[in-house]
Amino acid sequence: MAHLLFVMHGMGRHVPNWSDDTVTLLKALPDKYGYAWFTDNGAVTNHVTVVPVNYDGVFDGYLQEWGSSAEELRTKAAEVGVDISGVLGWLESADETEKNFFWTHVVDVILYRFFSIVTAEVRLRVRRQIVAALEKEGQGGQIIRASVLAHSLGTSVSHDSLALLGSQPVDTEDGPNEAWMAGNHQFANIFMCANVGRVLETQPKVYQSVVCPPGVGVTSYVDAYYNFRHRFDPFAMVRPFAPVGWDPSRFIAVENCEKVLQFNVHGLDHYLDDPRVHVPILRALAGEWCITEAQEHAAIAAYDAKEEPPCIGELLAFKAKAQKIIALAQTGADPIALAIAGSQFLAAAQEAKDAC
Amino acid sequence: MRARILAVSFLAASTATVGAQGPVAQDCDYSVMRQLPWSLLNVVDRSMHPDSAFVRMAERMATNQWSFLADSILGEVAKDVHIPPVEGRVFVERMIELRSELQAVETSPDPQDARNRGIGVTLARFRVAPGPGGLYELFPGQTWRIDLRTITSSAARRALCWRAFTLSRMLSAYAGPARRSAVDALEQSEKKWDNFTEKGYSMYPWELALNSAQFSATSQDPPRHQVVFFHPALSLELVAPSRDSLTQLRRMDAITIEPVGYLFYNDSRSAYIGISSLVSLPSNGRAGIGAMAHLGTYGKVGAIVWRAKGADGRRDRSLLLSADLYQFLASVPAKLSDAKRSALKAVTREKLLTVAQPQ
Repeated sequence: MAHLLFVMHGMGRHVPNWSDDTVTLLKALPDKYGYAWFTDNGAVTNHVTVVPVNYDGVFDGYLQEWGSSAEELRTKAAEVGVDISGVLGWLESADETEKNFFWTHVVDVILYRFFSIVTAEVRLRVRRQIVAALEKEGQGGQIIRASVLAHSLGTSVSHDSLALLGSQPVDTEDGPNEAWMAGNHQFANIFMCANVGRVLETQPKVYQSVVCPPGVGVTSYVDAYYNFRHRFDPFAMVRPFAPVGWDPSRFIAVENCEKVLQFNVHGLDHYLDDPRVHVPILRALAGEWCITEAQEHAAIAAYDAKEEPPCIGELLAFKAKAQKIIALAQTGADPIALAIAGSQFLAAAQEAKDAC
Repeated sequence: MRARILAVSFLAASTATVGAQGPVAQDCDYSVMRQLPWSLLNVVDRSMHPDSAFVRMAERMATNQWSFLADSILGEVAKDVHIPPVEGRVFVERMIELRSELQAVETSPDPQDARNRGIGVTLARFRVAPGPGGLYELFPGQTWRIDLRTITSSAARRALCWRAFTLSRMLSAYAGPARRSAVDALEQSEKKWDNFTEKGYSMYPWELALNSAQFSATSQDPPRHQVVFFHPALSLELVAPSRDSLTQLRRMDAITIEPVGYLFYNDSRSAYIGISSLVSLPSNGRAGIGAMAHLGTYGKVGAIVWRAKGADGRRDRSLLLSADLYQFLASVPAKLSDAKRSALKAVTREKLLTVAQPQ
């Protein structure tokens, strides 16, 4: 029985084998930080089968069809009562880098959040990919053990897709089918990096859905919920995911990531490199015993001792700008604020990197 | 000799793997307990092992004796002296619930339908749920959950966990047809989405917003209906000065705008039909108003029923074709000609063969 790990990408376009980078990174961690158990028992991929889940093709299809005309989008969207004037008003005054990040990344958020036809298609394609892998794994009466690692927009998409899968019967020719609903199937873990689920929530709501650990009052769909947030990542700070009353033995919130080893602190690779993030993930996937407490402390110390980007002036300016973007975004605390903050942040990270 | 070394190496590796974990994991972590060397298990453990137990259940599973199997395991658990009384009661109660559900399904008018749709039986009830910090629980989140770390006896843990694994395997087998059916249905829905995006009528952002406003994001299938709203397109106008002068038919490029329209898709979303109003702005500058019929991937055909007067005082009527339909129709004569040529070739070849055939 392999432990399936569904990996959900974030915003932007992804090549078909995009998850290879994530796999390579996960495999390299034990050597990098001295987790000896993996040397004796095989790499993390010996214990986990990574299943990439793709959904960016949905956005790509629409964008290719339309081209990218901000003015057209604003005027016509306004005619039909969709208020995205905040984003587009800002976009017209945005600089080139911000505009580029908007069209390559943040427009995905807009499409997913505001256009329910796009939302439904994304959720259906994600559900299909997940259950196809689960069903294959469960053939012959096998016990299925599966987890989800999601990043950025992927946190919202995975929440929504799992929430539907767990609470809504699948329409079949024979009638409603409940085989994959909560109570009939259970995910082992869900790992959310830069969780934007709350700011993008529609139905089902993130605090009311089945995507919660046991003991919350509804039939849960995951046995353990991990939420990782970086202090300088505005995406996760617009409406932070912070549920109240969830059993701390099955809800782990890691909010003390502060190190800036690359300017794009929002990147999944930057999250996973931090032992505060990858140690709980590896333990949940390969077993609690795969990293000792001493190794964990040593890894955190080694990580914290790493040097941040050498151009100190740029680093301080970047941190200050990130804090400012976060403060502004928290004032809006809605998807539009997220889109603006996201574009500004990615542009700031790029500019800082170029200047450094 | 080589085989013996391999066997010893395998045993050593397995023991090393198992040895790194705590005792609870060794008994109650499914991936760990399955690595226990068979040679180290006693007779009771071998019998109780979820893999061997599953094999023994195969015949009865094949004949749909699910409640009988649940009953058998219930009997084993109730009699197992290793299981502490409180935990034993909790487990037995959950088993009674399972047996009741299975019996209810089995005595229902259509048990196979219930099984095929995954209804009536809670399938993930007997999972052993690991959690952060070495937590292992049976029935997590429930009032009477069992914290397996509090059970000190390995025999007791195995008696509970291994039977839970056996039940989970049994219920996984029970769920097989329903799971497959759900996957098939979602695959069919995905094909509908493929059709909708590839063969459906394209939507501009404002149309996508408008159609989204009346569509639920929780839908499994794509929309069945689509509103057309200020949809611009490139079309071709075929203009005849009068009904009697078809020989003077002229072709003009035109930008058409469909102010409003309505489309209806078939079940597979591979085709649609519909109608929309039409404003045509041809290259001669004389706007026309009409209606347009949508014929799915074939294209659109419309008629201009009103047009601004020309310098000669006439209001030319015209037929309007979408660019794709025009291309399709324009290619028909060539296609017919090709078809005729191939047919003739085939007939000629057949004749030659027939003639050449000795009588």
